[in-house]
Amino acid sequence: MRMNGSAMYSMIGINNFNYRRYSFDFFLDSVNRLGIKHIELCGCHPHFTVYEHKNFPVREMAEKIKNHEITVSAVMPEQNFLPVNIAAVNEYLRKQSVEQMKFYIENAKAFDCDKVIIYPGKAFMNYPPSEAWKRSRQSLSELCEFAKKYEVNVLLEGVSNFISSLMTDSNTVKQMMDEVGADNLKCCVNSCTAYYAKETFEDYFKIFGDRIEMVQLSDSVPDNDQLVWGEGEQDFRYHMSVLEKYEYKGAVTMELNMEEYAEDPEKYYGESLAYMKNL
Amino acid sequence: MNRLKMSQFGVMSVLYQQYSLDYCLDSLAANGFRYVDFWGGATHYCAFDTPPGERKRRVREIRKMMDDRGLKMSVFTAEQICLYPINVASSNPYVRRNSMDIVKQYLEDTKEFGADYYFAQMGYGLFDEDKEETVKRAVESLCQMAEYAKEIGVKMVMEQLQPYECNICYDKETLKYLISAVDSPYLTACVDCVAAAAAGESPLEYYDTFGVINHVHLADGEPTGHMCPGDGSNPLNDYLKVFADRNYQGSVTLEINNQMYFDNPDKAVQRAARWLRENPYVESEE
Repeated sequence: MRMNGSAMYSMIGINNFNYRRYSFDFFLDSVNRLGIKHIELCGCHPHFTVYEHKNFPVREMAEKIKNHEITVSAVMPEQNFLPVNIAAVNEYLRKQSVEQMKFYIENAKAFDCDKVIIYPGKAFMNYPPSEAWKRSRQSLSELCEFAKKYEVNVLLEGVSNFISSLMTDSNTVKQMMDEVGADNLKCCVNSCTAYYAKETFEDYFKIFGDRIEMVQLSDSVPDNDQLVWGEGEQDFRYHMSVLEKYEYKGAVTMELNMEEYAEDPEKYYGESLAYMKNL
Repeated sequence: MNRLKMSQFGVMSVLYQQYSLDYCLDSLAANGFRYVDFWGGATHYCAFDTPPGERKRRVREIRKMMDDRGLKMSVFTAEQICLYPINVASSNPYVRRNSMDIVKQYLEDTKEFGADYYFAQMGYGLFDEDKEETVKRAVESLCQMAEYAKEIGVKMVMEQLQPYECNICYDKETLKYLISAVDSPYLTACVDCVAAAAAGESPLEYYDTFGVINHVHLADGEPTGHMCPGDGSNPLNDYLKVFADRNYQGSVTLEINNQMYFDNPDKAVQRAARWLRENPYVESEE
């Protein structure tokens, strides 16, 4: 099938982060209203974190998603805004962060999902990056080992400098994947991360090929990212052509994230989807 | 003409979240600030990055780091409803109980830090939940906080938020309602000039509404964006004139909090300090 905006509709998923001021039920209804079939399940408060319940009712949540005829393409624990950092110099926080990531790995299966997206963690910019790199590697190795038991793939996602300076381009992501050397360590690529590193999806596909198991698309301008599609400088037609060229069969998530989107997320997703349809 | 003093100004440490705390404090002291508005977030200090048994030691350590640099904490601004899972008005009893436990701990920390105020937040309700019930829970929790604050001798200030952050406190009227409902001298108003600009309000109206203002957040924006003074288009001089005319003696926090400055916060703070020193409504004390 030739890739265009309409064809993309059946591939695209959204995530619940922008719906964090609404109940999870509201999010699921909204996904149905938007005609979306897949979600990236975001581990954000107050929907799905270790902070909501002593024992999170995971089965109940999975049941709700199923009842809405929605599938979960990946679990994406929130790691930028919550107090989570797998590369933290503070060892207590690093360990707590690894434990929290394990919570998502061990529960992914309940959602018939085998992919959990992990960020590199953050370094203090005035400390040697090599130390944070080692801590990130240690945490990632630990998580991959743990994930084996649950037949889960850990998807490492490089992030732009706005979030962390540790792995901002395809080369550093590749280097970390090589150093960890785990078969279940795969890769998630985000259009904004590529944009800020002056790279394209093609650079990622050339290096990682079918180890790319998730693609996240959003728009961006030089000082802001994760915008509604059509409001920035990203060339989505080009992105789609790369996915087609490399016969990418995995999931694609429409990743939006501006704080004001939280007031009426359905509106912003609706706008992005309308833009996509006309591509 | 009344003028504000340079020593009334401070910077919120959230801007330095990608740098270590000692770097942050060195930078603020070197740029001539007296006040730190201390952001309670990982990995500087918060309830989630410090083992419970280590808390008192860590808080004393931070106090000493400030004392050693001649800095004083104006406000302890713990990350709460905007990013972290702290919501004292939550309809989830587990979340609400944990949130209250954390906030009480933060009130104790505020005393130990020697800060003038704890930055109280009212919590929020999910936007598809009953708003009246949320307001009831918020008032009940704020009353408990005010009581505990009184007991240990700590004061709190509170500001309005943006409508996408909070559905029960998003302008001066909704803030006034909550503060009046609590009716305690331990909980008073803070004006956030960015949120006011976004709501089309001026700080002058806040004086009219609250009578007393005990803390001010200042930042530039378009009108939002929490930018460095000079980088946006908000009428900051008009705001400063209002406070100068009223002979405002309290603390003013530069709440510069935008990811575009995170890789070099010191540079933004240097520019902010220069902007203040050159401002006609600010008297330099050197």
